[in-house]
Amino acid sequence: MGAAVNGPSSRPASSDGCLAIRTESLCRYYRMGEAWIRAVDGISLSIRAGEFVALLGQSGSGKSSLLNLIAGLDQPTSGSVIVQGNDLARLSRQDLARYRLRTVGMVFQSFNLIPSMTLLENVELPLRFAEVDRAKREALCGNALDRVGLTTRQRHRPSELSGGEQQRAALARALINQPRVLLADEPTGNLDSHTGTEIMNFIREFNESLAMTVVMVTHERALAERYAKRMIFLADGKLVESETAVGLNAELTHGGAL
Amino acid sequence: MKAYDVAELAVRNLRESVLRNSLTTLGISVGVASLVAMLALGIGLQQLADRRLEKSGLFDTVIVTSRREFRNFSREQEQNGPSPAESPSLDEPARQEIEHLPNVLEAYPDIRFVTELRYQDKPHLTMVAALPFSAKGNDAFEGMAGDFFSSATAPEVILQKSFAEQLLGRTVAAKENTSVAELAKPLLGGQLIMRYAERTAAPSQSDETGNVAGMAYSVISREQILKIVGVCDLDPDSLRQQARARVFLPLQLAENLHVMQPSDLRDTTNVLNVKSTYTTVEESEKPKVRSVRRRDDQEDGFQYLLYRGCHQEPAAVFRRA
Repeated sequence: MGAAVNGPSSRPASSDGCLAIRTESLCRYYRMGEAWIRAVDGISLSIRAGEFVALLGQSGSGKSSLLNLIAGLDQPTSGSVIVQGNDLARLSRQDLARYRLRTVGMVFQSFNLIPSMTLLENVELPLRFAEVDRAKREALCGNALDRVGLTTRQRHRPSELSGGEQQRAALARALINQPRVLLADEPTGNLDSHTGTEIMNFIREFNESLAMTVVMVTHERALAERYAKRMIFLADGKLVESETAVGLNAELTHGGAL
Repeated sequence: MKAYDVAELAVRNLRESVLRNSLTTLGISVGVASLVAMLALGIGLQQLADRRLEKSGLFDTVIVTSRREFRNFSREQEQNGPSPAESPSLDEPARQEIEHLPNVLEAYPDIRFVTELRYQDKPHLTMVAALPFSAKGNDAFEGMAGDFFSSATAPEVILQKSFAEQLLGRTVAAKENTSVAELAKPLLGGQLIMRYAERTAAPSQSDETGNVAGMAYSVISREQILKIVGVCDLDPDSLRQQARARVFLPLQLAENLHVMQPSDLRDTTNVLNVKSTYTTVEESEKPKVRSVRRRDDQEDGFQYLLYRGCHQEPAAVFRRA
């Protein structure tokens, strides 16, 4: 049996109570034929609870791989990922599923809504997995969609909505179980700048009003500088530098960890 | 996720694309049905073959013959046993003894003889065999047109398909497409007249020197009217190969008829301590047998009786030592 997963209301189990995410010498290698691809190569970092962090880097630098490891969608080759006190490498499959259900929420560049379901049903799906009573589900979904401004579109299917509306629906779905950490993989990648700004405003609002930790992968440095409190730069799977959005000086911590 | 939610989502997904799901279901159904049909066919055929083999008697029928029988002469594998004269005869006590052996279901006499059967005044020569009533369960009678014997003593007869074709004068070409039911239609309920040689006990007689023949009996030509009750496609007597019969009688009826068997001739010459035996042939009361001619042959010391049937051909030759 794996360790029990700390839910949204539980306190972090690490000794450092204010840390939401911590990685230690995290590695993820992929084998392609005879060659080994070092997607994530010895990254150690710490993200405080309620922090808004942007992961930046070129394509293939390991941003999405790192995000997948934090989300529990992938397993590290070596090292550890500790989120809200849960060492993901030690969790059983069941506990890992519970972790993904309750501790983290995730939005993707391509929205990943289920096309055959209405927005309401898409948002309701995590509640079904969480075995929330049917009577409560509709009200919770209504509130979530109301929060992202989609009350009038809740009976529509994703194909009937614009990209921005779909991403807002994806946001509502990611947040319906009230996770402590929001992971966003290029949430504005498929959106125009105006819609992207709109989405980012929502994410910042959740970060500030709910004290939710946000880790966002993006290509756009300007967007990161505008919304993130800290930017972490990756190159070739390695952590290059970290800087706050306002202070441009590199902030290297002990042993290369930032 | 709760079971209700799982079911609801499953139904919802099925309804989402009705045509695709229906075609998929149909495809799977056809596939599974084909598989089941193939398996069932294979297993069924195997069971049929097993049952046929089992009921054919190949594996559970033992044919017992005495060394006194003609058919056992000069068999190398039987050279080590007692001589034919010392071998026990297969009489009723022997049959009962065999029947009481462990795992023996029944023992019955093998009555078969070649004889003439008349149908619509036309004679047909063939092998006739007697069947016990237990043969009703024989697979050979599955799909038979008509019925099995109504009783063990009923004067009834079942014909094998080839003999039915012979009775109706069907040609070889016509045989190929003739069904048993079609063949049976004109035959069922019809009459066959069977002519046979009945063996009856005769009073002991002595010759001039006073020697007594112990195996004296008479042979009487008789006729029996038989009702055709069935025509079977398969061969219930396939075990006999060359000697298989094409006409079948109830066993008890055949026993009551006392039809003379080839072994009866052997018995007449098997009494070692008797100097002479004789066999008589009596003319049947029926007018079919036209003559019985007596001929003395002084050269070899034997006397022959020539029995002539209606075809003017010798039907049987008996000799007296």
